[in-house]
Amino acid sequence: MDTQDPARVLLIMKRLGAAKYEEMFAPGERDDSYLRGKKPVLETDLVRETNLKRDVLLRDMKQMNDDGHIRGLKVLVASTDVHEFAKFLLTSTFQALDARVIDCGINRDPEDIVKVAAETAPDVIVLTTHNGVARSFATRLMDELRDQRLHAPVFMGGVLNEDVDGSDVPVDVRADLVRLGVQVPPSLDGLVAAVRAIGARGRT
Amino acid sequence: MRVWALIDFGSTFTKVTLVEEGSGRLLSRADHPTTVETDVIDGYRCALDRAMSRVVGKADLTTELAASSAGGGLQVAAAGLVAELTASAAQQAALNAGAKVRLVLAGDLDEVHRAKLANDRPEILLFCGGTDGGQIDKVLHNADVLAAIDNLDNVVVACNSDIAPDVARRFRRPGRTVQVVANVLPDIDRLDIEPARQVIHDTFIHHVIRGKHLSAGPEFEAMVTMPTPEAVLEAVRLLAFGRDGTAETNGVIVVDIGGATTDVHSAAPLEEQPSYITRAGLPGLSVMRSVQGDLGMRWGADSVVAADQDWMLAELAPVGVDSASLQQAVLHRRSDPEFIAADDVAQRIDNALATSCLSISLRRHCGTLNTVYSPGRGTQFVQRGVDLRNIPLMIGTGGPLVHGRDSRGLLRAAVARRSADSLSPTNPTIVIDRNYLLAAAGLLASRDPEAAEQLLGLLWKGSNDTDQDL
Repeated sequence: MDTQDPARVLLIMKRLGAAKYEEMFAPGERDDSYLRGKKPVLETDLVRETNLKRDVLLRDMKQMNDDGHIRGLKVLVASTDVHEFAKFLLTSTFQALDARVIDCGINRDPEDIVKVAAETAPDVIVLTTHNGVARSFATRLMDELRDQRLHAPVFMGGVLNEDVDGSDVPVDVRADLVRLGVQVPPSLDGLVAAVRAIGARGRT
Repeated sequence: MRVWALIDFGSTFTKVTLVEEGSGRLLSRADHPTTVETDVIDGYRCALDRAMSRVVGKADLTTELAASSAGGGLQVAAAGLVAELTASAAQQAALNAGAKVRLVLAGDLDEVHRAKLANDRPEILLFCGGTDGGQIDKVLHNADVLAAIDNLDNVVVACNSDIAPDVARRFRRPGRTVQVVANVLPDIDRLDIEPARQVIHDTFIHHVIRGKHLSAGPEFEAMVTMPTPEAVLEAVRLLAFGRDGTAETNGVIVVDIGGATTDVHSAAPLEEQPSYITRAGLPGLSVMRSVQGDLGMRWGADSVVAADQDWMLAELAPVGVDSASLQQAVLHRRSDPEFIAADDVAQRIDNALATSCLSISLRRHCGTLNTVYSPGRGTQFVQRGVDLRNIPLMIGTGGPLVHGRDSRGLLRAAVARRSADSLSPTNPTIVIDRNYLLAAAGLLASRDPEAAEQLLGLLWKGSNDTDQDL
């Protein structure tokens, strides 16, 4: 490639994609506890605070001499949109707790998730969503799960709202999600506690 | 001179290729109608005598290696849970073993599926479902549904490995062979079809071929080492990657048109997928075979027209073919599969049928890359299947291409018809395998890969710049 040709350089960068570019060239120390395996030179407030929360949560669980209720649970994790960081946070947390994480990826449709669930039979399904489709996504997902006679509890987190006619801004749909049978823990530690309770029930 | 005979017992013709031992040098070839009604060895002997008579110098026949698709080939039914996941993985494992897959079962199976399986009477059932550590209840349910049928002699279990022994126990009956292999889809993002493919191959050699009663003596069974499509796929693999994985071609696709089906074989390195592309369905495979059971020049002609009528009518309008006359021509070809086009209009219809078979089969075999816009997500790129756009070599084979007058033109036309979202080859060099070298080379590769490379070199040599016939 002619590195003196800015158009070519831009085209290559575009085709590589931001994630690959970051993997290959981003500065920072190697650290697998961060997304794409590198510790950022300068963290955003969101990344720093979220990682901190996760670390505190994991440390507390270890200090509590956790009885391993999450160990071995099959946790299917997916994102309804392109937000990789939220999904990474979930997968890395459950992996640290020795769950068997089924990473269903980002940008998934309800139908994709149900197909994967049919083959993998997860104990819980954990979704992150930030694109204003929480209620319609959950409606389709729960219908599909019911059709396939799959009964794994479903958790949703992120920004639980929906773009609706007549409102300039997306509206909160947490109550609707609960009516649909979706659990909406308010935080990551709330999610972990709820999943842990499922693990505890399964082992009694 | 020590000579090896490489034999393809086809459904209609038995083809014999003679090569020099060690060098792989092509000495001669001949064919004879396959003598299924008496003993397939009879037809082989006729073809062999003719081929030997064409060898210059003293020839000492030392080895006979054969592939067979006679007597219906190898018939496998595939079963899985989700159509796009384990059922598709099972189908691909069977296809890569060179099988005909007429029936793919998916979902929560019931007595309707069981009746379909009983009616299909496959020689092997490949039973899959669930990732390792994954689904149990649905897989055991499906096993119970299918195990109950009587006419099932061979079962290969390649499901969730946690329950595979239990599944095998449910299938076991007196006189039925049940074998357990590694799961075809151990993780949701990882295919592992090779163990299942290998066991299907072994079952074909040790059980299925004998059961076809194609020959009275032991000679036929002793010489057959694989189904014919598997031999072709072995040749494609060798062409693409070489013995040490460094072949110059960097990818090959073979299109084989027949009277009833169109087969596509491909081998190409899998390129890393850019992170901005979302994958749908199964992970890609670097070596794969697909069979389009509805695309053929004679028995399959009506479904070809049904799939591509508008294009065919536009293509044939200049020679006065309208919808009614096209339907009539198709019916004639179906009722008389031996029909040979004798005039210009009939030839143009055959060419249009061939181009449709080629273009549709390429579209189905290769992947797609679509741009999808959805509220909340914006623009996404979604890829299904394998990206074969950069494959540099396309080989055409099968009767209509081998005996046709402008076979490369037909393949070029098919390549040009690729849709904007298709990941089919964009500008391959086109070669016609007029001497059916692929199956012969695939057989030879199993014993002497270096000699097989020499034989395949006849296809590839000198074709980098211009399209050519061998």
